[in-house]
Amino acid sequence: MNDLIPFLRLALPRLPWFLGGLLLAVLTVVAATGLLALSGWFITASALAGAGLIIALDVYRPAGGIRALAVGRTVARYAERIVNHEAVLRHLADLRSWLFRALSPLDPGTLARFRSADLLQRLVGDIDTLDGLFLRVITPTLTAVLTLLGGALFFGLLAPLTVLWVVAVLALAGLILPAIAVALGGRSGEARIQAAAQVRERTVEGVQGLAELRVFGALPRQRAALAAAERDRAEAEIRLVRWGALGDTAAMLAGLGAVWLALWLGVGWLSQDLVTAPIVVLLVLATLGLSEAVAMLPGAYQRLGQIRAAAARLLEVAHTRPSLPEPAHPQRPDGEGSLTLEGIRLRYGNDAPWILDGVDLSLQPGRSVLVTGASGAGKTSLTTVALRLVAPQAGEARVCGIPVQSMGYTDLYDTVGVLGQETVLFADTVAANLRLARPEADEETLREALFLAGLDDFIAALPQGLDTAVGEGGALVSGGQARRLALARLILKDAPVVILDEPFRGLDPATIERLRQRLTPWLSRRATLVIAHEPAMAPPCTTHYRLQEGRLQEMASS
Amino acid sequence: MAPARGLLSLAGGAGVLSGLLVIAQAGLLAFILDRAITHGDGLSALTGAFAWLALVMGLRAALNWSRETLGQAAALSIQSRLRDELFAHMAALGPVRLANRHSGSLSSAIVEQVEGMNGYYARYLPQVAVSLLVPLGIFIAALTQDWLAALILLFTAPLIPFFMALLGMGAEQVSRRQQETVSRLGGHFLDRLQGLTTLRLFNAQERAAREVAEAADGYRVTTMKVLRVAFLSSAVLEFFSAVAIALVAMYVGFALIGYLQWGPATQLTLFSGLFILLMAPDFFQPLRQLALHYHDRAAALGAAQTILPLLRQQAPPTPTPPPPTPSRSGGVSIRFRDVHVGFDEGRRTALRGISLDIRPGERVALAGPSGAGKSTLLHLLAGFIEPDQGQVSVDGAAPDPLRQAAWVGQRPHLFTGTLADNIRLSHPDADQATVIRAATDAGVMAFADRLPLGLETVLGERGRGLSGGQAQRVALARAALKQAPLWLLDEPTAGLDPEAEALVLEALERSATAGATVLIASHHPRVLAWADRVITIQDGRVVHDASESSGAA
Repeated sequence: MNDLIPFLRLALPRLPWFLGGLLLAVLTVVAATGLLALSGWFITASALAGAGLIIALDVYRPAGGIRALAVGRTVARYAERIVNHEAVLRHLADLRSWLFRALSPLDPGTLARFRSADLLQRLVGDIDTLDGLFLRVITPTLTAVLTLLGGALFFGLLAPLTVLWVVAVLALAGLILPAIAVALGGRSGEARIQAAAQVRERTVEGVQGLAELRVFGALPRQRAALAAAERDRAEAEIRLVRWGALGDTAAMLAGLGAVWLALWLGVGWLSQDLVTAPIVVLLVLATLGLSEAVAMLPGAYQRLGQIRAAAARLLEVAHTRPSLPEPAHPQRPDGEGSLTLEGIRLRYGNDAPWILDGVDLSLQPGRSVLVTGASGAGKTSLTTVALRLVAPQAGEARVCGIPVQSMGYTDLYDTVGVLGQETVLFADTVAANLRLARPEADEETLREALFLAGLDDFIAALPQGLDTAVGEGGALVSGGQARRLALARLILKDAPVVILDEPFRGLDPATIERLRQRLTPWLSRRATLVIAHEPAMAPPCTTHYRLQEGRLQEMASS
Repeated sequence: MAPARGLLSLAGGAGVLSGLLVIAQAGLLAFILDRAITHGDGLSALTGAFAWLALVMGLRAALNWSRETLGQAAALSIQSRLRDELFAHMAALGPVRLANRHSGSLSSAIVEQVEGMNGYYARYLPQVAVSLLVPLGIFIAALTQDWLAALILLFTAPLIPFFMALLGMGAEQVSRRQQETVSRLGGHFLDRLQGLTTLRLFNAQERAAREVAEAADGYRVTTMKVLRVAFLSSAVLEFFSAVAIALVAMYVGFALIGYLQWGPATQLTLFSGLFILLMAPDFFQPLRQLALHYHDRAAALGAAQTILPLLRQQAPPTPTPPPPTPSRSGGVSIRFRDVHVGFDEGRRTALRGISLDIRPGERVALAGPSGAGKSTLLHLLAGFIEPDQGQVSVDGAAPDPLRQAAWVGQRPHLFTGTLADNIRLSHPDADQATVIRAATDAGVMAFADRLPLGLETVLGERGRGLSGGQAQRVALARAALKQAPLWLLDEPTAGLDPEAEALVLEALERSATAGATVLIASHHPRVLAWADRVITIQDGRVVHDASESSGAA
């Protein structure tokens, strides 16, 4: 249960909604039970009056009550469902942004522990699963408890205290059987959630790797893997359903048993003249009404195992801490942008070779440094160290003279802009992708950035211009266009320190030439680090180093 | 589907039987109460009736269990099948035709939307039979007691289908929009999740979180629209059921007291009165259940609305899995005749009239600015798309990439599994020596040797943990293992340093010496020099075609 407590706390802001829903749910049960019970009482009393056994029966008050309960039941039920769903959906929306906020400060190394399909499953599927916590478990349970307590009080006033056995059997149906069902169905619920995650993973992989699967004839295998995952899921599901149905059935049986018991007791009281006939009918029909209210609980409780598994998976993400947290007392950068690396040594793992083995580098405003090197030589690691995406084992990276680990991330990323090795675009319009860097930028500013990135002609030729969608990860534009779009985005950011990692990757020579010309004035005002595998693939730089065996060697300027 | 249909009928049958037993239950309850009240019978005189009542209750419970499990079993078998068919269809459509749909929404179609059909099969369909037959049985039972009370039930019932139809229509539309929102939501989230680090580097994560909150809230608003309508239909039923109970109670009450002196009212007994009253809620119960499940139907229809356009999107005949043919030596010849390809229903043109002949074993570099149509040309040969006009043939027949081609894309997809698994993609049973040879040729061993587990290293998602160049080399090893007579490479050396590029080119040469035909889209001078022939494409046309030997063609 411990896994669920944080979610109760997260639901507190929606407490008024939940309380309103609970009140309406209780009203609904009371009205439905009352309608049936009062009707039975009225018929029996009428029959006795017709036979002359009751003199002077007031028929109008009960009749009015029946009408009021009939309308009240309808209204309360509708309002109850609306309010409870509204409450839960508001709560789920809170949870989604809560989870996303928990993810956003994580560094890439920490994030890599989760697959994105798996994260998506958590953000969508697992959070959806949590709706059952309130809709099916908490609110119905509290409703059952409150109505049974009310029922016990009401029954006790009307009949001998043995009547409380009836309420006890109802409680068995509604509250004790569910507890047993939870114990039995718990594991299937977790198995089902895991199997569902497998189905999703196989699906996402199958869709994203379609090109390779097709050409290399691996489609049938992927399809079989998906089918196998699906079989596991169906098996877990059917197990869950069997237990659920068993719980439902046991509760139904217990509910009907309570009716049987009420009837048995009632007939006994009647023959002993302990209770009047209309009251006996009222008690039997009220029991019938209450048994319907509690009979739906066990099936709902079956989902509790699943809900808990979902909650645990969400907490796993929420409790993940970045390995490189914000500094306790961040220092604000000031002055002109600069970047220095001093004695940086970095390796991934304790027995891995040193990727960077004592790197010193200084970037000053108006200067540009080119670093070339073989693939895997650690060029990109320079970027990740400077951006504090990893922490080096020795040495220090400083931005504006402040060590990066003493600087708030927001300040750090406001000062250092990067065009990463991977081009990451979002499934949105060209303009929206650009405005990621500067939300308030007007169209004119966007067009300037596009000009510098050599994309002005391309965008001008598009029928929808800046509002053209780029597709998932930029799938609707070519690789080179995507690259330049990412470059325009960086330009728009206007950071004093700029890192370009393979800026001209995938571009043709003519475009590269044009970009070299357009970018030079823009770069001349900044401290620039360019990473490329050869000088021809970079804008002109003032200094050129080669990274070899983890060290920088100065080369003759090109 | 046949076993599923059988299961569904059984589930419906169990539901009907359980519903009809309500009549027996109400009769026994009314009988016992009537005997005790009007005839003063004690418990001993009624023991038999109490035993019967217990039996009926037990039977109802057992039938209820059968109905639930059978319905679910049917739904699950249908879902599994649908998932499989959907995936097969997407596979047949191929990556290029699906490029304008987000992979997040595609997977959501297979996972969530199919899930959304569960209730329809598990609950709605079995309930249809119940909701037709059980009220009819109750009506007949009521008729035997008092025709007027039976008429009260009958007259409140016919209005129900009318209201339901009215509300159902609205619900379907809203639900359809709801499904679209769900799939867009999935795409939106996946996109943001995959780009988390980029968002962070632009200090945009707070904005993205707000967007996620907005999207989630939009989801709530559309869902509530669906629910308000769905609940309205059940509220209507609820209302009629309550009204029927109230009317029956008042009619029976006033008749028994002697206020109504006409029709069947004079002969009404307490037994009949209680019997009808006890059946009244169950007269509506099946319909209320159906209404509860009606949004299952709406959800299924909504899901179908997202799935069907996908299924309707014309897919070319699915390539059958290749028979394990021995790899052939030598390359293929390729012929393009006036090939046109457009995208977005012709709004964008990728190729406009390409005609080309490529000889077996020829190494062709495709040059030209990005977006000129080089990738499209390769997509045609990889079988991802067909020309809108004109003809593409490989060895005189339609391209058969499964048998003929090896593919290395701009960003190769690496699958969950080991490095070796990824290289073995085309031949999962290839022996270790073959894998090592392919890996060595492509320069994979150069970095795999430094990993503790070598080729058995398990890769993270999408090859996380490998650099771009390393991933490319894995893709090349994968291609090499296939020993295909046609190599299609879409800018494979982009982002590689000269050494790695040299390794890649050597790997290519090793394959080319076996006589394979190679088409490679690249700008790199080194690639251009290595190729036998350079074809420059611009705006979807061949603007220059030069052979090493002859200078210009």
